[in-house]
Amino acid sequence: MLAGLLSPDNPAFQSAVLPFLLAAAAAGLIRLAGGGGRGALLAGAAVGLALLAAYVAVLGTPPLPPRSSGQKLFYVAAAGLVLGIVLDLGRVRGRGLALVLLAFVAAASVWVGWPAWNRLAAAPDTWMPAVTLLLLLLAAWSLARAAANGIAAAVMLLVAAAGLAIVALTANSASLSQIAGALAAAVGGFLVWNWPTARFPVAGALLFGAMGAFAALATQASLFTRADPWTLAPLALVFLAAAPAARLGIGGAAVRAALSPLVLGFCAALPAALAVALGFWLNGGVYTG
Amino acid sequence: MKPFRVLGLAAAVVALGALPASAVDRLEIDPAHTNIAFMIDHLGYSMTLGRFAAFDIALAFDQNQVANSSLNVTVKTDSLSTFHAKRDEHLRSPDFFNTAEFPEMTFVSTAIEQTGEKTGRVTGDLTLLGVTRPVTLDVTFNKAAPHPFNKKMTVGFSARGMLKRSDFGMAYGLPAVGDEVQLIIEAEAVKPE
Repeated sequence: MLAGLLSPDNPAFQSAVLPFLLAAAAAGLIRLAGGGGRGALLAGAAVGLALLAAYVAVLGTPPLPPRSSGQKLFYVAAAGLVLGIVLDLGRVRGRGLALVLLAFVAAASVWVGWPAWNRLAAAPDTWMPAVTLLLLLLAAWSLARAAANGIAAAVMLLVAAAGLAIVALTANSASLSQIAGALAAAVGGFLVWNWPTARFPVAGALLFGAMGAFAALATQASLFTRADPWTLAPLALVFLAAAPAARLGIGGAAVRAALSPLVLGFCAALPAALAVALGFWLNGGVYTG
Repeated sequence: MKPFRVLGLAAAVVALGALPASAVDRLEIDPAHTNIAFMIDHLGYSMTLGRFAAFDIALAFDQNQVANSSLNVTVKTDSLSTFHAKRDEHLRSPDFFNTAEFPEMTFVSTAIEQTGEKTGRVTGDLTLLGVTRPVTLDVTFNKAAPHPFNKKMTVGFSARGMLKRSDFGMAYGLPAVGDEVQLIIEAEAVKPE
């Protein structure tokens, strides 16, 4: 059974084991190579690196220029990774980082969803491209605000990506599900270094690589799959979980700090669970091939 | 799959070269007796059969110079059916035909040649998922005769071919789901009166 799980052709290996182990290893190596300052700041780049490796394992290296939304996703993640590293090295933080993230997410969603936007110009019979974009901007803004709060942003990204993976599976988009699962697993690999004690900040390298990929995945799911829009919309609420989670503090300061990621994960999982339940109800369940 | 249909049409063109009737400029496909189908390996257990229900075919035929004939086929990818609703949804998804982004598949013939008394070969450019690659169909001309009921001159042909889906960027599920796709085209066409 273990040998099967470690087979390169096994979807569970491609979208769970591989990105988790790669992200965990890469985060440690980046920290080791760059030291406690720059190394810790850039450790989040491990998420984007692991996601790109998982993408190649699942779908191969996409052509350049890309032809489909799924192929564009790879280059969005790569561009986000590079942009995030550059911003980290330039010490861009706070509101400036948030504004650049909003612009990047908007550009990524429009580029990935361009065929739908293009059709919209000829036949404006749907609000889906615009609604998708607005929800992603809301998510990106909330994520950027949470980035200053320890690993909260990473926890929300993990839950949102895991929820999207299952919803995509109920909509019969297995490759999208696998890539979303890989994103969740890669964030998980980063988080093993940061719980119960946070060691690496959630900076641009993680935010842009991971949120760019999530935006591309959500846009693809919303505009180019059979996923019912109501199965995707609750995932935006995952990124608003930090505020209610902050009110659920338990115990003293040390205990509260250790438990806060778990409490946040619980709060974020509620809308994700709603999305999954709606996915099984409205999208018709999972086709196993 | 669309190329297959196109190839089948091309085969019809070749077949028309063997018709005793006068030169035919244009043939009308009989949708009730035309099938563009495909078969692909499923995990080594069996071959899965599918077909496209919606397509447009434009066939120009030069009876005296078959090589001057041409065939253009457009297939609506959303019309695919493998006779299983959930599998069809998966095939329409970005994993395979990505029908929301690429609603059409086209075939444009580049060469049509007669290889025997009742056989021919149609080569053309198949565009699928935004990728264009040459595809060749081997065509067998089955019959050309007035239809027994409506008396219209009707021709029938069969075409077979093969393509690799990975050549068109359709790589998901390899190698569990086969790379080689068998193309099966059975078609009938009527000469307009």
